Amino acid sequence: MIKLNKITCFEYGILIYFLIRSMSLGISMNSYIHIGGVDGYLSPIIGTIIGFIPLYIFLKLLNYRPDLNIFEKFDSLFGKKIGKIINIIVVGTIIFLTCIIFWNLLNFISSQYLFRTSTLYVAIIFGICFIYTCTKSLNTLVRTSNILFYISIIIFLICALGLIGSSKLTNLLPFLEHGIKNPLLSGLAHVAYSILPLNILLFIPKKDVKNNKNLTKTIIFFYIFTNIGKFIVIFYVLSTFGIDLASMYEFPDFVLLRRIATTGFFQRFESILATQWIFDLFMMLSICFHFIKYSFKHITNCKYDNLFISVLIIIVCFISSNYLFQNNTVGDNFILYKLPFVMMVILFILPLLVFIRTKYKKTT
Amino acid sequence: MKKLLLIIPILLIFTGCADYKELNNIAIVTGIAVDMEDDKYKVSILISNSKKAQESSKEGDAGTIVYDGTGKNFSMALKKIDNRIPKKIYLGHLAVIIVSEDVAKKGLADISDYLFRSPETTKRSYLIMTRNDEKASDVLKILSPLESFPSQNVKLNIENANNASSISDDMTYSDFMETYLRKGAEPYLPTIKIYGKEDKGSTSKALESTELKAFVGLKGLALFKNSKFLDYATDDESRGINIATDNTTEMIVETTCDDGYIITALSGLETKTKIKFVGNEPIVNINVKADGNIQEITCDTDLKKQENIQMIEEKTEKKVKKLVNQGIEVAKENETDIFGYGNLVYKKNPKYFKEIDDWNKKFITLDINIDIDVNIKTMGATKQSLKAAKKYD
Repeated sequence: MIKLNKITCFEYGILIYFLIRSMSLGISMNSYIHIGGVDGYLSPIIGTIIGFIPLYIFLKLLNYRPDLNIFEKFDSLFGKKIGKIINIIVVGTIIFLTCIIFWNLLNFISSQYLFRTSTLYVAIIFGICFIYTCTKSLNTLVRTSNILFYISIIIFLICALGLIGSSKLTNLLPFLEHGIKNPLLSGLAHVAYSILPLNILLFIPKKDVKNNKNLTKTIIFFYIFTNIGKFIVIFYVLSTFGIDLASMYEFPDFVLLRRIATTGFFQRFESILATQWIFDLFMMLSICFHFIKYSFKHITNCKYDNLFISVLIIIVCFISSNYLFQNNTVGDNFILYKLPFVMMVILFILPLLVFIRTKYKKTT
Repeated sequence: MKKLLLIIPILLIFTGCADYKELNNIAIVTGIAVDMEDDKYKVSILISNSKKAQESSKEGDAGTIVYDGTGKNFSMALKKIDNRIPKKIYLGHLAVIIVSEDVAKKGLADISDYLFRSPETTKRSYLIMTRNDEKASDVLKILSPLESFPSQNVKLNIENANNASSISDDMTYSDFMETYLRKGAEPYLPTIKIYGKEDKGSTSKALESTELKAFVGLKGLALFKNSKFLDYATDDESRGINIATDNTTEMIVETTCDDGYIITALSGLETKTKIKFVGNEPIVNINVKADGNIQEITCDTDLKKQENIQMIEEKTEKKVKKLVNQGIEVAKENETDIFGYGNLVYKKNPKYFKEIDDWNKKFITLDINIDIDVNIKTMGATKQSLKAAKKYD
């Protein structure tokens, strides 16, 4: 059994906050705009409602044998052999997802900040930070997330208040021109990108959370709170730019921050305000790497989990910076049209099967 | 050891990586002008941090410098300039983009992609056009005694455009592109004119006398269709367009009385446009509301009588309606819906809009009702005009 130091319910909620927000920049934002269209602002609302289903499954899995993490649950439900196979499939998918998210982070930084710097150089800088956080215990990650959470909230409030005068409700018309189909599809994409990654947190057993009687309420609170934040972002993007201009930009949420000019002299600080998304992606990747590390430790029972995760991070840096996608167009098309299916299979259907199996095991 | 491993990348990050540039190694461009020369684009850039600007303490010294380059497209022209200056061009502080009529006739979409795509530019730079055969690069060379850089002069001129004359507009690059991309709407641009001779206004000698040899001033609007220039609107037509598009909050309106003029300063101008469908045909209803203040009166109209105030209000409303009609007529003559009524129709009834092949042709026959409501609230510091006071009091 892997030992983890205890974390509080609030800290667990903060991890949920970052996981839901992490794929917003460049991934779910593009799906809202390109799939949802002018009604894309309805996608987080529809996605949040539909997302209660995978959230329910997540909570059930969390509460089933609270002393075990998800890898041990697979073993106990399916037997050691099949459990190992499932663990390998899941960790392989998470490694793949990590490469994609890392690619997205590097793409954002190199296209908006450092367009003359090699992406490999940027990847190495981040890689060193990930190696450091992953060789530490979960508590290091949680303490980091605490600080970044408060900074993120302050930055978000500055953005939300600074953009109040720039939105025009007429840019959200015509309402449901093509019916509910597009926002519904985009809502499902929202579930895939924002809600399903919550299952990654199942590597933390419930018993490692202090005062875990309130954990369910905390999770639901952070779930709703974070999704409201995502709705606010897409609402501002579409109401300020309109669908025609918003669909032109690679990162419309970043370009939107250029419109903030508070009290006439606070201008052009979108680079600082955008760090909230860099924090989200950093936290998501750190959580994923921790998941992979604990999974490796469970599968192989090996002492060299820190060495393994360090080598893996270096490999991910190389792959994401140069070899993952040929260019942005290929990457964007894959993320928009194929990635949701991959996530649905591994992060929804698999947990659903596990959930059904828990019910079956209880009755027998 | 592990802490050292963490500190090193943090220090590396603070250096800004390979993109790091010293401030004195970059040429800060605050103005760009685009002209046509022998069927190629001639791009001129105004650099505001020239050595002269940093070292010279003499007032009136031209602290800026203009470089130009020619190319088949914007990127190649900019590259030519890059080869001529010792510093790296930095577009992060670009304030104004000036295009000539020739460039506008060819189409602004051809030169827009570079600035739109570049992550350095703000997209909130002002876009303006020169008139007739005036060169856009000449505007960047005219010095002003009131501002340090010519680009700053043009920028502040544009920002203050919503003054009593209301013939211009503060159109940003992003706004122009947004209108260009929008369904059922065409863009327009403010224009700028050079008064006097450019060569006399571009040297520091020009600032030494109390009378300006050359200066720039805003003129009426230029109408576009699909990012190509069509025609100019006169001053009155431009005022009408600005009222109809709710782009002005203040205006001075001149009406006649028996043997003089009544000048009413309108403030709080607000225009609301609604689309109504009557028998499957759209009708545009424009409602304009404004508060008025009598600024000047040169006839003997007795302002103490309420009926005279109402008469002035009616005359002002008639004049404003005439301006709006003139603005709409010039747009209809050029078959370009610069008001965005097509976009409003699309938002109200997308099915109807999609059945129309060319909205600009439909725009010509569109029914437009204009309702003006002016409410004169104050008469300045005096209750009565001088002539009326002599006559009646």
